[in-house]
Amino acid sequence: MDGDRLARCIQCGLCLPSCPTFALTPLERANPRGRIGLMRAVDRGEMAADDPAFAEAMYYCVGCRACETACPAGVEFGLLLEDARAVIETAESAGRPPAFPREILLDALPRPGRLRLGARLLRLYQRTLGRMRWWSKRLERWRPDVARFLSLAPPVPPQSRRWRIPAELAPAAVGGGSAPRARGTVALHPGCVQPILFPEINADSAQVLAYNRWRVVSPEGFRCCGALHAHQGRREEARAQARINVAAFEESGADTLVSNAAGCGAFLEEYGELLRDDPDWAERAADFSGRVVDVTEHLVKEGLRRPVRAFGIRVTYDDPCHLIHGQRVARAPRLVLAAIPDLEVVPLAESTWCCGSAGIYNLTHPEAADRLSRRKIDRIVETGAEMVVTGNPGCMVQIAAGLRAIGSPVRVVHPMSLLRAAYELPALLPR
Amino acid sequence: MLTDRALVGLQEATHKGRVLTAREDLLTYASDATPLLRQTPGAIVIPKDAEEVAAILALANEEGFAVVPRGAGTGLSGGAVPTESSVVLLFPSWNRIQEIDVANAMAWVDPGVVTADLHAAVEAEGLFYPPDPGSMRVCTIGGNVAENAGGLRGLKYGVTKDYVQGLEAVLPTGEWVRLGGKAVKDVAGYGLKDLLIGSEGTLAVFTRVLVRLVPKPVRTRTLLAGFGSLAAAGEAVATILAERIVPCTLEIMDAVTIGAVEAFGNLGIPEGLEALLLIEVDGHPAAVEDESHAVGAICRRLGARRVRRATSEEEAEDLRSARRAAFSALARLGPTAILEDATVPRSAVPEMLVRIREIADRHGATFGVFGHAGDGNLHPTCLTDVRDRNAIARAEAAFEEIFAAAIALGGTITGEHGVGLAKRRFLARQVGDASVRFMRQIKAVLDPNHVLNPGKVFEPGPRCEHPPLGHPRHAEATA
Repeated sequence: MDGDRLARCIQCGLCLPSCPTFALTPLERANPRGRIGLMRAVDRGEMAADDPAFAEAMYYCVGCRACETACPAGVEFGLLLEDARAVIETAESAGRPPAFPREILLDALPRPGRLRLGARLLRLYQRTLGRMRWWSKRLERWRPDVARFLSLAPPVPPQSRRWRIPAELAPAAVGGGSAPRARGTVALHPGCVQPILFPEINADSAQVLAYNRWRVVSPEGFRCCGALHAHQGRREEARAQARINVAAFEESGADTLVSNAAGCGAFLEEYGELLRDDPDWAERAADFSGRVVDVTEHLVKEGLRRPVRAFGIRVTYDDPCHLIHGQRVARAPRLVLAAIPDLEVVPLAESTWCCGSAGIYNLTHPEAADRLSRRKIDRIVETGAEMVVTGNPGCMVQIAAGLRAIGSPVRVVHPMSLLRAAYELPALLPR
Repeated sequence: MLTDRALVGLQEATHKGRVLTAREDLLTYASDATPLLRQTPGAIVIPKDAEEVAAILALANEEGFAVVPRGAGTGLSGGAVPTESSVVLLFPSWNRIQEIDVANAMAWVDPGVVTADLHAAVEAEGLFYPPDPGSMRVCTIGGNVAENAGGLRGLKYGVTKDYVQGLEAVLPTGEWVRLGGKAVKDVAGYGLKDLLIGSEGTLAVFTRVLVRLVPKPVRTRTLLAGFGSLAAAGEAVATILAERIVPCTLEIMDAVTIGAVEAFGNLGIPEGLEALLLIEVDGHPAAVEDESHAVGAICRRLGARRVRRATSEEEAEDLRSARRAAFSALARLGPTAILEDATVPRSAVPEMLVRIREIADRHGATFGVFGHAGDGNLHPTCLTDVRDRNAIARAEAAFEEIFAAAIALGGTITGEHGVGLAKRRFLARQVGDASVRFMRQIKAVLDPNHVLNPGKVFEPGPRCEHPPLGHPRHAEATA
């Protein structure tokens, strides 16, 4: 583990109230200070790297990085956690999360063909066996892990070409008319799961960027960013993904890489650090990371075209952890919402608190994830909002599942979908 | 190691609570917020009520193990650092504010209540609990009482002991006592409550605390003044107080701290400042207006380069952020930041600042100083690296001289952090051998077997009261 990074923690404990898992389990091993204490113990050799308790403590963390926002000493906890999990992986600790569904997902995410096949099978399942109560009950008894995986998944849309974002989209005038001159070229990173589960988000993001007079490219070469791999201790696999994405971006000729998924964006910004020790890629990766920006931040910073359609609904905004804590972007998405006429935006209490999605945490730690989810859903329902807006596919899946579970009519919407609707017609509101 | 008999006894004594002995728990309760001090305990016990605490202490006397009570582990003197094979007591579920008695302006609270939560709860009733230690969003009332915690409002409002009206506690022998109560005047017998406040977990484990509250100030005004010399800032502090204005906050930051804050926060502080004063006055709106203008005028008269007076709460928060960021900004400069709390009479603050600078330079150590100028409580903060033995040795040497300077100026080695482990070897120098003997006698009477937080406050005695820890800072640095 990186000694300098590990030495930064001064044990002051100011992170404690920001830690979602410490609120669930009030023990030091469930908070950032205690986790760093364990990392130091392993570093000193007082605890074995393959001690299952070490892996369990490191994987109990949701990795939300709220502690980084709270930290006075600038501890890079996200990177420390990656370090620790890489050590655990190397040690092949028995305390790692179970192989299902971790291995299948880590294997499939970088391979679009397999992902699409999986999505088709999942859709078929959801429309047949998945509807039968007797089967669900039996599966629950037989393989609770598989049952959980299947129950969390949102309804998978048909994998049609309709939602594919074009390789290149020219600037467009709202409501048709002659195309305006481009302000520049941006590349849109589509993510891996997002185009399959929420295909409209990429289409909406690209269209919103085009309406804001950006030429949008989305090279075929982009692949899964590798965040999940790095967060599960598989840094080498993450590095391989990083090299693919850096090369694809360089070929695209764009100046800026726009991300519309908070988890991916935060990790794309980390490539410089990830490939720091690779002489062939260090400089290229650092340059790449410097050009990554969240779509809301890009729009607000460069000047957002104000939509004219009024909405007349009440929404609330939930901060994805890796947007607010990972990328320190809190104002931009709120400014985007504020720009939409007649949209009532009510503040969400504890909006900076993790919803429990956390990569595959909701699959590996169902109980803790459910408690975090319930807390989030309670806050959302309290606002009386008709929609909750958030910009990360994992959070969208988790929050939608939580709302489904209580039969709530509140919908989960990506800010770009809302903004596109505000540019076009209220009738075009997303599903 | 704790004996098996002791562990079985602990299980029996805490059938409602929990006993933890897993390696990952022992390792994570080995330290508090004090740099360089670490010792894994023998067990962690989470008692459920006062009876269980009493049973644990009774057992400790029978079986001969040490008990170390712990709040949120934010202490800066090592007070919650375990001794070898000790039992650490935690109070995570003791977090209820049991009663807010508006008529008497008092509140009964569990020891595990977070200080800032108490602030919020009583302020909703128009009341005010002034002590505001830097870790107030994390630290607990039990720990505050044990350490007699201070904060930014000390000058006008005093410290924790000024707001403790009553206590329920378990003594080291396992007896439960209630001291004080809601009667404001109460002179029945010895003032034992005050003996337990600030006893650093060595004389009692608090099970319930009755705090005194005051009316919430109606108005607060905030000013930030920058000075080209430390002397001018010191003179401004003296003049403000001499003109019979008692600000609720009167904070100073030196040039190193200002530089760090500006580098970290980009708050737009002009260059070339040697000292920054954050001043807040509170009370009746009319008085606050007068006083804040008077304070601004004094600062300008004494050569302040720039005086900003907040006209809105947002602006006030802006000004406060410079001081709030002080420790954070300094902590980011070095891998390790050692924060101390040498305190002098307020008239000696300028002299003390000069001496700290001189001592730091002589030892080649990097120090930033900030603190509570109004009550003389300074925070010399050494930026160093735990992994560098020489740097740590230089820091230790500089701190030793800083404490000596504080004592020479009529001050103290600790204004609000406590003696704990970190400063016990300096205690006799300040209070004298007779006082230390007196303290030891009290400890011996209340805790004849030295089971409660042994080794804190005093150096281990000649008969070696409990596991000798030597100089743990040095021990750690070599580890």
